[in-house]
Amino acid sequence: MHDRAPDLIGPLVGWRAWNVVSTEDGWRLQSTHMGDPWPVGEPLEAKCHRDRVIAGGLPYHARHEPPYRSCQCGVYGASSPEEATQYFVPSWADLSPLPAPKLDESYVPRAVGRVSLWGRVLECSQGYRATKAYPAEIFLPRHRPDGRQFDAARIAFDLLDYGVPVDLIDVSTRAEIRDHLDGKAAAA
Amino acid sequence: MDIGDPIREIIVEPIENPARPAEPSEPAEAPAVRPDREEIPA
Repeated sequence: MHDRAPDLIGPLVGWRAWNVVSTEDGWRLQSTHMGDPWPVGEPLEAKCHRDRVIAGGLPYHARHEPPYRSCQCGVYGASSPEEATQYFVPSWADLSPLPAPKLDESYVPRAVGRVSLWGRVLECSQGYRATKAYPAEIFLPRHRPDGRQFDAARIAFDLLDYGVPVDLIDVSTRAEIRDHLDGKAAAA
Repeated sequence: MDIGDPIREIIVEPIENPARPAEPSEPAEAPAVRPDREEIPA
């Protein structure tokens, strides 16, 4: 609860990327920066990790409730898909003529999608930082950036536990992912 | 993720919990079949 009336009564929706990780409950989403697991059926609550960082013997920030204006904490959602697509490991086509990334055998591409954001929210120039978040729609590339196969269907099936749409998408470059998501954003 | 500088703080309270997506609604029951009219004797 908040001590003032809400400004909006529906969740904000942003775009973001997630790690996709294997857990004892199956494949789940995980924050790309801090590694927070995204729970099923309950919101991810923002935590600030920086207020525990010691800089010169002092906390980086005094303890605070995220999202804190002068920190970077809060659960993020970008207002356009463009920013979220920066979090994919580049494909061969993206990097050419540079060397392609060496990917571990167990590598699974990151998912991208829409995220519901609510609670106390910092509206920013290109997105939001919120206290609470939950996936709204999940897109998982069908192929790894190196073209090798992985069990995308099995992972997508597990991600359905979030109770939101999960789509496998046939994309391999950042540009293709961006185009796909731009199409989704235009249709929303 | 670079989402730019904060502009303002807002309070957002969804009516429905986004972490509990609505279950697909049950298919509507088949409409009751109206009984045939009784044959009117000739």
